[in-house]
Amino acid sequence: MSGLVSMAQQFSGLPMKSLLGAPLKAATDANGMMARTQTQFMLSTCFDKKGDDLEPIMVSFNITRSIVKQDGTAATPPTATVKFNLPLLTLIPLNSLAVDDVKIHFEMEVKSSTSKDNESSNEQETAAKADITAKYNAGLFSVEVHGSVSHNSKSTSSQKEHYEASNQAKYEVDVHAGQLPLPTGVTTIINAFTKNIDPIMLKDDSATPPPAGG
Amino acid sequence: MSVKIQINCPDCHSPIFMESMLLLAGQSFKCSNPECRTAISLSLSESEKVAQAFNKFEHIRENAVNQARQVS
Repeated sequence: MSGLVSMAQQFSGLPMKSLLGAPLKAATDANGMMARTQTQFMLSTCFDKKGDDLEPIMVSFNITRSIVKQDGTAATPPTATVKFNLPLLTLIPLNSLAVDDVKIHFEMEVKSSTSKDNESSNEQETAAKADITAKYNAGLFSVEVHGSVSHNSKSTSSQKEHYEASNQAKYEVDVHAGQLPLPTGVTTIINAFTKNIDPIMLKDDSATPPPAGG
Repeated sequence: MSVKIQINCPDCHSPIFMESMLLLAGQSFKCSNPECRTAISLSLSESEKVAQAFNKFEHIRENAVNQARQVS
């Protein structure tokens, strides 16, 4: 068994800390960068800085409503259009863009096998061959002896040793960027704006809307 | 790329679903409440301001996607 690779030894040498930690750190860094970018975007694009205060940039919308008489028929004109202002912030889908899913797939396979084949064959073939001829004549009797002796010897021995080891590693990092829930503070601001989307009636083009919050 | 926007109807507070490209093109969007016949549209004078904001937003969104790709 000395030829086998120690599995524990194979895995203990892996830099698990960097394999797992590096993608997560990179994702965290990316999220931090994206959060800063979005905050800067929100403050610079959706707000006007006036002194120490930030004022939301308002966008003018037209709202068209149907005018219906008491008997249910359409009045003349059938619709009325008024203007209302909406904070630009409420139009931008500011759901925090961030890396929301990091999957690390690490697959490692260590194969180690050893085999030892001993093949030993001893083949012995003995064949002795000798031709002997003897003849003896004794009166009426005659004896003749024929003999044959041969000898052959063969010996075969083989030994096979087989060792096979393979390491296979697969490392995959899947990262998905999606939208995370907004921070509570931003949600509160947007909700406050959204709930107060009430038309601000303007008498004519020269009219100015009432001050914000009024 | 068009961005989907949802705001509440000023009349009935039901959602009004809009798309940035169509909004910038001047299209009006009706309230999702069938009984409310309110429709809203962006004032033409504001389209440039809103378009700039959407462009900036699209830019940071592309950056976010690139960041995610770099991580992987």
